[in-house]
Amino acid sequence: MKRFQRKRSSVWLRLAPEETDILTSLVEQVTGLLEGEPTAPVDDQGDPFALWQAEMEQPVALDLDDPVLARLFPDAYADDPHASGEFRRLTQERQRQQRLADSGLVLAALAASARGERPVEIPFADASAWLKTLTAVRLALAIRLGIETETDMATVEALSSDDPRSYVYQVYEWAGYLQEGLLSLL
Amino acid sequence: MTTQAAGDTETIERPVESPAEEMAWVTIVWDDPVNLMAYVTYVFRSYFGYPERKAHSLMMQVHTKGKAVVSSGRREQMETDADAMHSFGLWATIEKAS
Repeated sequence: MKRFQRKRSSVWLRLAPEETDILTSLVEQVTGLLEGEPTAPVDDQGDPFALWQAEMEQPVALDLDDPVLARLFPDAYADDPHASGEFRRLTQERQRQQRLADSGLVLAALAASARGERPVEIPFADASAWLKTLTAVRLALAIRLGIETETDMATVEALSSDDPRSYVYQVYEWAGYLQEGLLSLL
Repeated sequence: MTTQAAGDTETIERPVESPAEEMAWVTIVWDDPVNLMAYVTYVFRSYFGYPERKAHSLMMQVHTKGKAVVSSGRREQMETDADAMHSFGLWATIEKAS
């Protein structure tokens, strides 16, 4: 049975139960990072809807000391921290919301597969959200593995299977394989 | 795929540029060890609308030379393009064309 299939206007992906668990967990970890911390306490005036509204509207502080977040929201101006700061100020929130929406889409599709009992459906319209989410997952894994250069990559590839990082690297490779598979059918 | 202009209605104070200076900005995409060649090509095709051959060629430039200029024009447009590249997980910067 093929891992990836294209039928009608969707790509269908067969995953084993553990695979849906792993992918769900990876995406949730990225979402967790993107949810950040609220910057100010919220006054709900006793109204749960006001609280929800206020929480939706207030800016979220992302910890850019976290190397994963720094990589997901990099400097746009190499030699101008002020311009980079301005750029980030104008773009970060929208990007953060879009990433959360994309991840939500992936998580919903995984949940709908009932742990892989049914193939996971990826409509073409959602392909971009899947590709971007898989990229974010791979970037996060690579950074946690300490991969910054091609040399680092070679080092990690050569790790023995006793090294705990070797498992993380396998997951990283597997996410790349999923991304290639999806790309090949678009 | 959705692209949205980086924006709200706030005005940024910027030095006044001549029309030629205004157009002379570029977006550069930098190589990184994570992003798949097939993915980078896909991004250049789907966001910029470049034909497969050009998208592939730009991707190979990033891969072999470490970076490539992927678009040029007004600074505001370059910021939109860089924002889009970041949203795809690529690493892009903006600078004045040399």
